[in-house]
Amino acid sequence: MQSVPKHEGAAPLLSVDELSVSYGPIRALHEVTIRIDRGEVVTVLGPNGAGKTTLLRTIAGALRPHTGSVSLGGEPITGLAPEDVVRRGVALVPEGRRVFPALSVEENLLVGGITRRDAEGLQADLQRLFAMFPILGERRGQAAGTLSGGEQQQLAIARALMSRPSLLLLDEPSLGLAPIAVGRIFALISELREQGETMLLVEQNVHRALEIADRAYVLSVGRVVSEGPAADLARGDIERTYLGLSATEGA
Amino acid sequence: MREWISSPRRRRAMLGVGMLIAVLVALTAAVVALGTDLSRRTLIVFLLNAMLVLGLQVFIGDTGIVSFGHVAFMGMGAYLTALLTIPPRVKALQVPDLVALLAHAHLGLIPAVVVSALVTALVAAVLGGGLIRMQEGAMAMATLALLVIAYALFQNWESVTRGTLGLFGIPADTTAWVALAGAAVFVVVARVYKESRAGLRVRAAREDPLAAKALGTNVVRVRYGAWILSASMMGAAGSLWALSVLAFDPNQFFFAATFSLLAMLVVGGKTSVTGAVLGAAVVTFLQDTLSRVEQGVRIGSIELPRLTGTVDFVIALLIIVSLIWRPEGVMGRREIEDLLRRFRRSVPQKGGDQHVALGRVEAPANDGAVLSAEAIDKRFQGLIALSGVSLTVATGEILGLIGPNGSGKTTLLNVVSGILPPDGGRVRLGGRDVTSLPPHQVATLGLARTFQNIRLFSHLTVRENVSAVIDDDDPAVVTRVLGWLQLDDVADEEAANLPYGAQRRLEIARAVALRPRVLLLDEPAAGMNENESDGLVRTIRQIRDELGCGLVVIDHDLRLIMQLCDRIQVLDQGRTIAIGSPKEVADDPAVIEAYIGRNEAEVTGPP
Amino acid sequence: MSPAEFVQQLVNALSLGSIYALLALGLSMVYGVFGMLNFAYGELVTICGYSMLFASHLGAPFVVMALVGIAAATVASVLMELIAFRPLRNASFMTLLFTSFAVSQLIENVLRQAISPRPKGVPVPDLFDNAIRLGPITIGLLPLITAGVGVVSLYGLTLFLRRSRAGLSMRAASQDFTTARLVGVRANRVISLAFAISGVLAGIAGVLWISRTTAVAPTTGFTPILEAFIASVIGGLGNLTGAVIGGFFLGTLEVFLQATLPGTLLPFAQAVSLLVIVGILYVRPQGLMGTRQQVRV
Repeated sequence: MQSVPKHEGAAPLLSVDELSVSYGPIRALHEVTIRIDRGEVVTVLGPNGAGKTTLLRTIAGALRPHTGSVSLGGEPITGLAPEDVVRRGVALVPEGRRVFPALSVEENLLVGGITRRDAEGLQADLQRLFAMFPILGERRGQAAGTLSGGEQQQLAIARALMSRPSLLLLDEPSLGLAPIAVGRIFALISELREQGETMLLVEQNVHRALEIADRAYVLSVGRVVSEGPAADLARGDIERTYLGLSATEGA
Repeated sequence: MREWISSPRRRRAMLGVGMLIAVLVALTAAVVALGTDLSRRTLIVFLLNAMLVLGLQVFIGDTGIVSFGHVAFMGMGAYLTALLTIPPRVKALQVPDLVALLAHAHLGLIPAVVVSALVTALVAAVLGGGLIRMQEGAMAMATLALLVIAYALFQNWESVTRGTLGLFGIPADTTAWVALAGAAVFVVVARVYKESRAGLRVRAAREDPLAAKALGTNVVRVRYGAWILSASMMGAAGSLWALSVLAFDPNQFFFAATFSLLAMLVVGGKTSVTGAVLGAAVVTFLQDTLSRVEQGVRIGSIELPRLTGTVDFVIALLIIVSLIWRPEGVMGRREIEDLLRRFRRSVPQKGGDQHVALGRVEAPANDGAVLSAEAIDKRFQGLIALSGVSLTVATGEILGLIGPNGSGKTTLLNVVSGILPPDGGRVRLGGRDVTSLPPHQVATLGLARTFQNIRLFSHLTVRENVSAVIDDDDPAVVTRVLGWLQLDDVADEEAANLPYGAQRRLEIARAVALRPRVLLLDEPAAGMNENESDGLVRTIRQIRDELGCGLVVIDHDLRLIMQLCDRIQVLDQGRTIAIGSPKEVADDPAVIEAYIGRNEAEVTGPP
Repeated sequence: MSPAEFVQQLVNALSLGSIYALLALGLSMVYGVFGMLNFAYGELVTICGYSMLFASHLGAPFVVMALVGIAAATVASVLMELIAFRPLRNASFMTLLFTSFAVSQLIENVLRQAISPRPKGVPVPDLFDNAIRLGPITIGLLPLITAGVGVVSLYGLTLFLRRSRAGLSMRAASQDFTTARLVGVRANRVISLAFAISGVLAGIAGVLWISRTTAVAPTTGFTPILEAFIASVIGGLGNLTGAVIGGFFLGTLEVFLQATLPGTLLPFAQAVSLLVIVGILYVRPQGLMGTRQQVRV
């Protein structure tokens, strides 16, 4: 794992405090607290139904929390509408990619930059992203709905980057992708990491996620059950959480 | 009859019907005895409107499908009755070229109404056959077409309808008491239908058509029944209406009437019979009062000017305001007897005879595999969801189906239950090939399931959720199943109001009530804590023991799966990667890898 | 039908079709972005007509009348959204439909009271009665102008949707409203824009319609809205291209039915075209361009 210079001791970029979110009668998150520093890559792991997607959607403003708060760079963003959260500098790559199927690749990217006012910078970013994601450049005029899963995932990430976010949220980028595509996606995420992009990564692919992340949180049934530097989270512990075995039981 | 009454739900319904009719009788008596000619007229208008709105309620309210065309049936009934009851000499003046059968006909009130009801039922049966199979948006469109086409017919088929001039000379046979009788009959019919087996199923299909189908309801067939009944009611109501107006023309059966009736339905509460009557009352009263204002009214010494269009204006305003304030209508989903219950202490339902056994399901004649899926393939637009997956479940066996997200577990359940057709492979239930059968038939043959995202009939009560799927509606069976899953004390709660755990249990109760040979549970423990999922394990074992059915359980709570299942099958990316006992599967490195992720060294291809 | 007649009828079909296409597009646009079938849409045509009448009383030439009409329809559309529909943003489809029904009745009655229940003549240029001769073919000038204006408007709208940022936002929002918000598209603005554009479309269609009928009454908007509704359902609700295709299809169908039906069946022309439509929907319930709804289990 490469080390990226971090601003030790500086205020965290993202602060999630005692966040509780419900879907009707179901409590999806219970007092979840998370911190991300500038330049860090933090991953949130956990079995299905643990609340990982709920966490990201709440940060992005698509869901309102019950109690608790979310702050970005010290400023509260709890309860802001999603279009305002984007303008504060948070971009979400949603689960299932959610590209605009009838828009072309290029149009999808332009929509991603809809909050930007600088036309030149926008064009420059477009070119930069086409260079970083060559397959998108090749298919720039194609309707996004006709792309393969892996290509759509790249498009969703590039689209999010168009808003020049200070924090990038990625919701299960490897979901439903063939192994080769997964490899490519993680290589891209790695590249972003080297460029200093701050990211919160939700993943089911534990091994990959731990390779790339600086720190990790483990959620289970809506609560944080484990956290720490990625290297420290021994693989054995993760297995047990996933396979539902307690520390004292054998496999 | 006694058996029918025995259900507490139906007893309450009869109470409600009685109360509502009593109110109508009292109102009629009061107006007839004390009121003026004008108020008697308004009363008749109200009672006829109530009948029309009830006809609409039976379709729109119970099926949830918007129909713009029902006024066409009212028109049919009206025209037919007019032609049957106008004295032949007066008829000959208007429509001399009428066919002999109708030209000579001179019927009384009841025969005319009956004939109208039957003929409209027939027409609806013929038209509805194709219409009812359409998707909801297209169906609404088709009903609009029906309205416009009927109107065009009324306006242009001059030899029968006298075109735009309309018909006159209709006897005024509909007195206040006749209208009351009609309204009372309609209240009974609407309420009886709502609580009947067919009515329950249609309402379940309104709430969640997919779940209704998967649990044995032939949704098209029950909606067809509602369509015919409601059309026939509109025909009968149109008939009585014709006998109250002396004369009419085609404009009475177009958008103004449609809008007015829909307004009454929506303001009152479209799923409630009481609401329909109440809405009719409110809007009729308003229309009556306002039309006097339209004529110019004196308030003290001030004379208000004539304001044409006041009625429609205010009615329209009323709709908007009432929809913003009470989107579900004044009554919402309640009936008149529910108002009583608020003041009565609620009596907890007795658990019923806990020792009534549900009876074991019949074991298949063959080797014991009650469900088998062979080499199932399924593709979605190029994405391979399942590839050569096979699955067998024996009687009394609990098979766990696990795998990471996107591995195809739910798709497999959907193929097995008939919701999705496979691209390859066969499904056999009790030895019989069910691969191409629609879901409701698969359910009737003995396969029941629950859903990953809860698909309850939200606005039906717990008890109704269960009753809506079974055929014999034996209260003892319903009570037994509810007791089993600890739902007896919430039996009369609306399913949407239940806490999450109870909702999950209700999903299971509903499926169990079908007494299936095979039960498929899709993430029954999702969102449950340890205590709850332990309880679930016990309940599922109980179900298996008592019914003797086979079970397939999908879940991500592997602790639960390990405890509960006799065998476990693991899917990954659409293929089976392991089958065996819990111990065997837990030790299998391929399984661990599928869940945790591949080791980087094993990935092929450049990064 | 002779070739000359055929060409004439074709132009008529294009003319009627483009009016329907404009209206169907407006309806579908609002449906796509807001999820509502706006029954009050026809009232915008009526308002356009009365505004044209009002402008003519002030002595305005036809072009100014037309612009006033279009402006009025646009303003009315935006106001409608702000006052009646925004408070009901999350209501069910049925509730929104009824509300829009009620709004249409409201407007119709206000106009009836404030102005007159009787139709009033709207002065249109005599020019419109002329015809162009091309050999054996005689083509009315008005249908030609209508078809031309219609096609140009549709093209202009397409350009707007495809080339502008606002148009891009709208297209994204109609495909996936939530995700559009998640990339920063402003929900309220996009909805207001959809209503505004549909108002412009109703205004243009209104000018063209009034030019044909040369009169306006409180119920003027009713017939075209019915046609627009039918056309957008044929095309697949919410599908913009489908709406345009549906509009031209319906226009063509009606014109050719009018031309070919025997005299006795002529009053049933609309009924017959409706039967054809229902037949299409029976075979393809999602409309010509719509996609079959995938049910997520």
